Amino acid sequence: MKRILTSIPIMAALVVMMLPGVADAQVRGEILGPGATKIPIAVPRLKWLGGARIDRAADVFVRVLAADLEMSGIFHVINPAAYIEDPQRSGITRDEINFESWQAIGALGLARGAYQGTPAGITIESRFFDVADRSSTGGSRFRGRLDEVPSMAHRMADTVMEFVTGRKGPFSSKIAFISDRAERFRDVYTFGFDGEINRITNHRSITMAPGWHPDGKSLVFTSFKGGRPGLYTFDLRTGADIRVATRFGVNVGGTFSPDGGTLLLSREVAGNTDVYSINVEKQQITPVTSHWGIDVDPSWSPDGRRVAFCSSRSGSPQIYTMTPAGKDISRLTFEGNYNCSPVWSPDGRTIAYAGRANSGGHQIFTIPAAGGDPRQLTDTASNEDPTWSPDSRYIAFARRSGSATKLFMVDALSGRWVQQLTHGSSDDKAPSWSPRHE
Amino acid sequence: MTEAMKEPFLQRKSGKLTSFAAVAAIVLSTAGCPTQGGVGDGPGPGRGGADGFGSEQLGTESSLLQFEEGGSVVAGGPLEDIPFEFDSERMSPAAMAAMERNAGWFSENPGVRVEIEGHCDERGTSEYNLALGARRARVVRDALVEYGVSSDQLSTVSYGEELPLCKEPVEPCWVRNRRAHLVPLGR
Repeated sequence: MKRILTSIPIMAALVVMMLPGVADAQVRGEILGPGATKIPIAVPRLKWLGGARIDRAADVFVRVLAADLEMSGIFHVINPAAYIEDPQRSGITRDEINFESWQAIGALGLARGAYQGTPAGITIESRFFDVADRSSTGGSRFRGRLDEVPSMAHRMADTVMEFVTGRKGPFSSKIAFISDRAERFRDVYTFGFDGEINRITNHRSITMAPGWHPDGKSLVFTSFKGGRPGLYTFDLRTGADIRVATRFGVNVGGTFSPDGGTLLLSREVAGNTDVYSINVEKQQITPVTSHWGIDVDPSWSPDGRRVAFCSSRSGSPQIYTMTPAGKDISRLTFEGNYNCSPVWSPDGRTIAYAGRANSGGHQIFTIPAAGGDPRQLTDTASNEDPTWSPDSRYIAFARRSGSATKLFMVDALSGRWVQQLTHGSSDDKAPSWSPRHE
Repeated sequence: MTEAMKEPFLQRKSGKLTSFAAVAAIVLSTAGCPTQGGVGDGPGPGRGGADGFGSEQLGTESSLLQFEEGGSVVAGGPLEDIPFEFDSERMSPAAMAAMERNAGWFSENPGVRVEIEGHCDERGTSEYNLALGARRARVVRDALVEYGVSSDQLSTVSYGEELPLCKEPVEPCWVRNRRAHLVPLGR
């Protein structure tokens, strides 16, 4: 068997997918991207190297790592029942691993590691091996408390994806969203890929449209607490939950510029809603658009030079781009009579949005940011509120199916790899994917 | 350019008395709108009684308060909901008819402050629907002012798609949710 990085066509396809302007990239990506041909890998239990024996915590690392890699759609984790090598008896270095035993079960990749119990918690060392080539592509050592084990596993999963595809994975990031899971109120929550859901706000009202500060340490959102919609920020480190821009009337849906210095938002004056800009430091508000139509949902390009937004100025909601000062307005979508909530991909190339499909329901689409043909990614149920993963590989969204709305994610190229993120009977919507947590 | 500070919208339950009364009835009649028999076509009396103002029809709660306090949101009350079409704030014939059925109430309850809530069905994005609800509320407000109701008596708020009357993803439910809901707040 040949090397993992050269042996199978998916690698070539993944590399092609990352190159801009390659004509057949999307086609090949569709055939060979996430969810199509998957790389079989093994993720065995960690070897105990000493200290307190806390296999349970070590197993959490393995379980979360395997689940992340499986969720990527790029890997298939072979059932541990098939593993031949005993993780406690064999070593974790290149010379100590019995690669034949992993080859025998069809594994092309191997995530092998060990741990030590420490007074403060745990130390975990994990490496990823190319089984055919019998070489290590790299690894990481993590030290921390036991409750930090899931985030160690997420970081390892992101690293493994980087080893194999050249681009880090998204699993150490979080997704903020709105849910009515506690009582009936709609509050802001965060979702982590180990399934951990944290309640952020407790407004006993309705909150909407959470978004992240580019430093990933605070959120901006809209709340009806007190009767009128207003913008709030929540500092995830201190728990400070404060109303901002109170002087500026009814404003909703703030979104920070990539440098964090400017907040774009939608503001209603006498029934008409336009995009406005707030200079965060000077606390000054400036109109960006000024049109009788509805202008909402501003989304920054990653370089901060353009802004996508949704406007009904043509008679139906469509996606436009403009400068952050509201100049050089250019229409991007022409198909369909309802295209809204544009979000600019972190790599700058693509804009995702929710559009009303021919079937009647709303679906997730992408369109090249420079203009071009839209591509419909979803076709089941009704899907809204797209948000990009920090690696621009996936789009999370809210799917209304039956009586509940839940968060899902789909690969951004083919739409074939669809994964459900949240479960249960509550309504979960308005996902906002965080920047990467380093 | 940079804009100066703006006064916030009317505060809910500010308790201030307003006295713009007779204009409504006068202009209503000159405008040729029916001022009688209207209320009878609308929904029944309000849930009323929550506060001490005048008529038992007053003192109804905003949809937001209904949600915050009890979870479910109701339609109508002393004033009939105004219907709208999908992605539209246009006053359709059905909307005009509902407005006319409400006109009698305004002449019988002069000076009562009314909050106009704009609502949307669940389709489309939350922010767009919040903006659309604001337009619906504004259109109804402007129509009431044209009828002769004092603008000082009227306030608007949009709840977008956030406070639906029903949640089934079918047209009969969407029709109910696309509405302007009128809430008498008291004098």
